[in-house]
Amino acid sequence: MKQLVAVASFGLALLAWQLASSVTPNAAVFLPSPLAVLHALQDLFIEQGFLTDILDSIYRVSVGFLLAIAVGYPIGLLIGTSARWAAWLEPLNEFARYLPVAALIPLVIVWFGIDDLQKIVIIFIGTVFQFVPMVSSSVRRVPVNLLELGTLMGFRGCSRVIRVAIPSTAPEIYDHARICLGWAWSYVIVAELVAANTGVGHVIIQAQRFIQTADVMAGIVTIGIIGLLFDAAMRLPKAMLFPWSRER
Amino acid sequence: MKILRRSLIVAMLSLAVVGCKPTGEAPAPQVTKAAPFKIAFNTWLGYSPLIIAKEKGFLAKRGLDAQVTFLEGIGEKNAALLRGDIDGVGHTADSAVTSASAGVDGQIVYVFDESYGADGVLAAKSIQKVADLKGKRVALEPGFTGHFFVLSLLEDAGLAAKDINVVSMETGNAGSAFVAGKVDAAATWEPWISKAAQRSDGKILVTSRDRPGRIIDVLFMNRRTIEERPDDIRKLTAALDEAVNWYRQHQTEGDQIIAKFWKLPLDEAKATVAGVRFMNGRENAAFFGTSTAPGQLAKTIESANRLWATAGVIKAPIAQPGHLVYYGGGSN
Repeated sequence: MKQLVAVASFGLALLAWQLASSVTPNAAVFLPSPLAVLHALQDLFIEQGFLTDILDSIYRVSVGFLLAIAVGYPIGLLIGTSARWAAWLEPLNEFARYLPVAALIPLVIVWFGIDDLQKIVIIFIGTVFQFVPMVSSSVRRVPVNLLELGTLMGFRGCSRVIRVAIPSTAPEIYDHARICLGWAWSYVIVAELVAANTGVGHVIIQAQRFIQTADVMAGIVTIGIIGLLFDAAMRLPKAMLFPWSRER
Repeated sequence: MKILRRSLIVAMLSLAVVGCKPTGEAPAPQVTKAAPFKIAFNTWLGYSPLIIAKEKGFLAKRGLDAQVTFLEGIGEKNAALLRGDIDGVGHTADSAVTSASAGVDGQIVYVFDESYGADGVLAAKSIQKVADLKGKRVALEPGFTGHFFVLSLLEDAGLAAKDINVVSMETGNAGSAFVAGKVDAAATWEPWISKAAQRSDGKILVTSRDRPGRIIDVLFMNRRTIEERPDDIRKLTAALDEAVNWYRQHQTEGDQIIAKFWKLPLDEAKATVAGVRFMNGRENAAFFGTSTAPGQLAKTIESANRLWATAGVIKAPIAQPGHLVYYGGGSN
């Protein structure tokens, strides 16, 4: 039933798109039809090696995202469990969280060059500062009775964090990470739009320069599909990874 | 402890991902040949002579190579030039002034092409001449070549920069905003120039074809590279000359190379190339002039320097605009 509704929602969206395209004058420039975009997508794959671009983007996203999680998680844990660390780190993180990532691109080029590293850094700073408060707020919301239970069982300080706070928040933080992955994807595109030789964002900007609107939309649709796939790939093993998590 | 073990696994996985990159690039430059010139372009096929020179082996037979990367904005190009990540960029002459004002120490070594209809100003039919732009809403990208073109046209017509209402947006978006009827006029480029008629009261007011020599695509190289490799620069300009001459003899094959590189349908590539005139070495020589008798290039740079400073795009005119031109490239 759920799948049926999902299919129907996509069907309706496609129908609306098709209708809008058919009433748009000069649709090839302003709003190509779904079929035209599908055709463009096929050409991109067959004639222009789109797969390499996709793999390059996936590589950049994966590295930047994993780095952000690896760095953001311990920091969020510190902030969430220790008032002293929170006083040190939280204001700084809140400041960094509001930095406009797109505006940082020229600076990041000056510091890190124009290779993959620069894109990875953009993804990293785009996601890590968002992930930290998500982790810390989850950790802060560990139910008091769980913590008390932990104390009763003899866990104190570090071991209480490891045995109580970390496992009880893990499923929720895993979901936060999944949401961050979406941001990582939007930032890789931002980075590739400005400076790249390959990648989905690079294909989009080149097509846009020469008003190949169908190609632009094919690139955007591709990102959406990759997003869906990544999301599903992260959702599926969740029950296995965290057997103690209960979801509605 | 399970979680700890798992986070360890995740950490190791991420290390593994960092370690292996899907597209393997040759790490070390070859010893026998000169290091490839690293050149960054924004997406514009006016720079195609270098692509042709590379594809047809005109670089290789001189022991040269070029690695082309893409940087779309002037700010990003400046950053990469300042860091020394790249040896040069494809620029317009007016952007060379902007870069110099940002502290980039570089020089123009070759003129790829002169825009010949590929850039221009679109306007509603009620606007008869440039002077009629006074008080009108003009879409353009501040600090980019279309803005420079408009400023130079206004100066010719005796108007000042503040006499028009600038609606700032990216150059391609300026074209689409005009066709969609949102602004009175727009400074934009191909393929939007040919789409002016898609707006019922739209027309082409003036293009680079009417005012040649103002919008030119140049190869702007870091001075350090030029000073370290003057012989290679001479060979590079010779290869570009050969590429342009070859293109004139083999336009069909040339257009195919261009279309393939810029990922464009062949007919679209042809239509866009029609808006530029590639320049060979002889034409470059005339355009450059000599250090004692500078040609049109120096004039365009001087006017960009003056107009950018008046319009506030650069804080002050650069001290020695003449130094932006490298006269030792063998094109004079």
